[in-house]
Amino acid sequence: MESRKKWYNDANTITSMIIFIIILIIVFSQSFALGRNGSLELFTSIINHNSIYLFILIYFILIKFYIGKRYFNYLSAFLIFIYFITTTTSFLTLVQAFSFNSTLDFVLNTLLLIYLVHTLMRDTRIWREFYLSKSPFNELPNDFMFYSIIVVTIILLAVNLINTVVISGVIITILDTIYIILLARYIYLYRIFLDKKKIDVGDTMNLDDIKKTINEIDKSVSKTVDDIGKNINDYVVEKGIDKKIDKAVEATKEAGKEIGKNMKQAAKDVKDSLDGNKKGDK
Amino acid sequence: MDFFDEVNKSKKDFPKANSVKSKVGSYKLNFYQMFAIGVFVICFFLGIVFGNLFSTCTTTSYFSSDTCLVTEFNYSLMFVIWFISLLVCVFIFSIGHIIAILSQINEKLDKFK
Repeated sequence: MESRKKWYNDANTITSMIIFIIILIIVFSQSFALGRNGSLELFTSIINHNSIYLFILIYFILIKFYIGKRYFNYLSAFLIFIYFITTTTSFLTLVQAFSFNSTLDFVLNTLLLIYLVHTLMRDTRIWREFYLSKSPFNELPNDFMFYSIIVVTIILLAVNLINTVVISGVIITILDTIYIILLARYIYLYRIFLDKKKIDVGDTMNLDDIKKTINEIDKSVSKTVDDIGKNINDYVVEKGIDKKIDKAVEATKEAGKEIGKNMKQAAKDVKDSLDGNKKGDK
Repeated sequence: MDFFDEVNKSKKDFPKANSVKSKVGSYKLNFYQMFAIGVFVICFFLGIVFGNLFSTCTTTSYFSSDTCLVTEFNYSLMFVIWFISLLVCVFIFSIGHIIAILSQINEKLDKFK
């Protein structure tokens, strides 16, 4: 019987926790924003600070249902697009307001984007058609990517905690750190799942390679059979074997007819001689 | 069953790049439609540029203060620009589509004359 998984190894629990943490972030940040002026400012605040969280929340809620699982690859592309925007904007923030905080934020977003592309796009047609397996980032091991994100997140948390001057900032920063760690864990588990799907053969081949080799063998066998057939046809035509066979068939038919005729004649002779003998006896 | 096993069993792969290319290539765009797509691409980048130009405040000196310590990218402005440009471009694109249909009808009517 399969042993019960620990919560940090169970993707279902991780996704539920991500949903819960994102909801907490949105609720807390909006309740802190309530102290500010007017509804328009509040709405702007929601979009500015929580739009990315809202999109990610939609992603994680959808993959809980069948429709999300069915279009998992498309949703993954959407998540990558969201992180692409986040990385671009964090780069622009870095240019505009250069600080250790913004630098770490940019590094973290870049790492997450690379990790997302090289994990969620695996096992898809895009991965095969655009040869993403040849990307230099693909050589980075799963553990390295996961732990580097954790390290950068914890450093960013420390910097943010030093930087922040209000209690709301402390709560949001801690929740944000938990969310990033959970997201990294989710990607990590998905890559482990994909690696487990492949059968390792002497550390040199996997299931995809085996499939590819079988296809190649199948193609080459079909080609060889075609070539042999063609060569035999050419040889038969070149040596006139088909004509010889036709002649042999004709000759056999003639011989058959001749033998048939002779047999009939012999049978008639035997019958005649038998009839003559009968008459003689009488 | 494992969460990813369920995903793996039911997930749908992307369409082939060649089939997408041939489908997109087979669709002929007129001037209005090309103009709408061009405007949207420009507005997409313009949204990012404006979001960066008119940055928003992320950390104030104290709670509910107007003194800004740290600024960050203005997502709301970027999304507003993207949304408005999407509406405008869809409008122009649909006009182009209507014109394309009307010209097709006109061509067919000319054949009967």
